[in-house]
Formats: sequence, C-alpha cells, structure tokens
Amino acid sequence: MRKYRCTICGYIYDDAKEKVKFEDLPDDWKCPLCGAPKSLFEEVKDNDTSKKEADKKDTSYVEEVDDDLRELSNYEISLICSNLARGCEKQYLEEETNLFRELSSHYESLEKSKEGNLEDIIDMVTSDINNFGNSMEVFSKYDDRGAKRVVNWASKSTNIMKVVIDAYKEKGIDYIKNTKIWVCDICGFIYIGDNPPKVCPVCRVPSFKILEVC
Amino acid sequence: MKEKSERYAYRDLKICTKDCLCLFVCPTGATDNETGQIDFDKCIGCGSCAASCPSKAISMLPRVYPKQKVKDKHVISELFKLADSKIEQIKILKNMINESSNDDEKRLYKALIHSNKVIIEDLFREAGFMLSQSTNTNKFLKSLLGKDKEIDTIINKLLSKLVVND
Ligand code: SF4
Ligand code: SF4
Repeated sequence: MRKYRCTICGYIYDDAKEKVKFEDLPDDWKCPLCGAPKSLFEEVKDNDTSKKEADKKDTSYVEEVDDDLRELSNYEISLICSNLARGCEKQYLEEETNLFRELSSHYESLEKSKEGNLEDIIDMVTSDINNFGNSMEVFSKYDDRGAKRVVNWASKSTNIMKVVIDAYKEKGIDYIKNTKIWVCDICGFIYIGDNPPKVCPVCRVPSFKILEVC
Repeated sequence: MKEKSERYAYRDLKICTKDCLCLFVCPTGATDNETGQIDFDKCIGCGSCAASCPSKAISMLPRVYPKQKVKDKHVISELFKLADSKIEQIKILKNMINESSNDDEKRLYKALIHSNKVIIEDLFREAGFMLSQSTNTNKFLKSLLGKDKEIDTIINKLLSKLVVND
C-alpha cells in the first residue's frame, strides 16, 4: 500500500484508506482540496527526506551583482508601491495607503502592453517553474527564510497557474463558462469553481481573502 | 511631560462592536474618545484594552517600528528576476484582454494578472520593501522625484509623513 502527497496543498491520498488505488485513478482526476492534477502528486516514502537532502550538491548559481540599484521599470515601481500600500494598510496608515496606491496606478498607466499570446505565457510560466529551484538554493545559501517562504508560495501558485492555463487550452471556453474564477489575494492561488475553498490550500488564509474575479 | 510609552493601542473600527469592555479597563480614559479612535497621546501602552476586547479589535502598535532586516544583494537580485518574468506576463496578458472579445476569456486573463501581481508584490516585500519607514523606501521615493510635478507632490507628502526609523 502506498501514499501520495499533493505537492501544492499537502493533501494525502492513502491507498489503504481509499477504494481505488492512486495508480488506477483516471488521468483527469484532481486533488479534492486544491484542484491540482494527478501529475503534481508525489509518493510519500518514509525516511527518505534526510537522504535526499544529503545527496543534494550545492549547484546554485549566483550571479555577480552590482551594488547600485539599477533604474527601475514603471511596472517595478508600480508594484513596489502597491506592496508598500498593503504594508501601510496593515499599519492602519490610511492616507499613506492611498498615496502609495495613487503612485502605483500612475506608474502602471505609463507602462505599455506587449504583443503576445497564450503560448508565450505558457513558455514563461514553465520557465518560472523551472527557475524556482535555483532561487530556493540561493535563498538557502544566504539563509533568508522570508525569501524562502515567498518562493515556496510563489512556486505553488505558479504551478496552479500552469494547470489552469493547460486546462483552458485543452477544454476551451467551456472550462470557464458559467463558472466562477477566484484568486487568493495573499498568495495568488487561482481556483475555478462555484465556491472557493474554506482556507487557501497554498497559504492557509481564510476564504474571505480569496476574491472572485469579475 | 512624561516620556511616551513604546506602544499604543489602536482600534480597528471595522471590527469593533462598540460594546465597550475596553472602556472599563483603561486606566487613563484613552479608550473613551469622541473620535471613536483611542487617544494615543493619553495611552500609556498597558495593553489592558487589547487583552479584554472580545472582538480582538485592538492592536498594540509600536510608536517606532523596529529596523527592517537588511537583505543580501544576491537575494534581492534573484527576487527581482522572478518578479520581472511575471511583469512581462502581465504586459502580454493586458494586450490579450484588449484583443479578446469573449468576457469569460477576459476574466481568465484578469485572474492571471491578479495572481501575478499578488506574487510580485510579495516578492518585492521580501526584496527590501517590507516597511514604508525604512531607509530603503525613503531612498526609493526620493529617486522618483523630479519627473512630474503632480507626482512630486504625492511623493513629498509621503516623505514628510513617513519618518525614517533606521
Ligand atoms: S472592547 Fe473591543 S469591541 Fe468593545 S468597544 Fe472596545 S474595541 Fe470595541
Ligand atoms: S493600552 Fe492601556 S492605556 Fe492604552 S488605551 Fe489600552 S487600556 Fe488604555
């Protein structure tokens, strides 16, 4: 009997407790908690984690970087400001929150959109997913737990993003027609369905932070 | 005058049910205030109100926030790399929304943009922009000055309101 774990939300599928063995589940079976496909599950092996850690060589690639902050792009400025607005909101600084929001929209309006299609997005999302591992190693090397936390969430939410885009590509507009789309406002987790999960499967916030997209 | 306490009580008016245990326990009367907010000049930071509030509507806020953790430049550059890829995706998705004529499809693209934005904001928070009162934020704001008069007004307001803490 084997056990499998959803790499997105941690849900455990235990062959011993289910009627159908994991192996025999259909290919379009999805995680009941977060909607991740079967392919994002991994087998749970007892005591194998320590060995895996020890086998890992330090292969992280760290670039040389300049000390000076380079010139920031408009979108970078816009999103740094909207992040600071969120921070001010948490500190109950209402006026500052609004001022940062104004700055953020101003810089967003300066940015031009760019030609491209769904295939380009899929390529970029795929390359993001492949890069998270290296980032994680860099953050481990500098022992930055905050940065590790953000890649942990970002990689999960980005994996789900890919699942959603792939499903849309395969099933077409029927996949999202007559269904609601939700985004977790804390970690970016996307959910397609009538009601959002009670807590976000990625960052565990309660569902009132998971917002419907209209 | 006596020195101010390190912390002061702040009431979240959206959560407060106005049923007033905090009024009974406050030794200085700071919680009973015509504005509905706690008088932070009177508050001595004892925390009794926060401890008694049945709705968890009161937070004890520091008058000065602690220093923000300094981030290694390699960590920052890595976080920016992750963010920049997502920024390029937002640019393309915006264009895709403009060119699409299907509302459901637009909704999906909007969701992807929203998700990317949330993730990027989080990446930037970890890249040294956690606290608005940090030197890092102060430098950032100053670097934006001098390009647009209206924007300068906003930035100057922020610079005067946000006292640098480190
Ligand atoms: S005890 Fe809490 S809920 Fe009651 S009035 Fe005070 S802040 Fe509001
Ligand atoms: S912290 Fe103490 S002094 Fe300040 S408002 Fe609350 S009860 Fe009153």
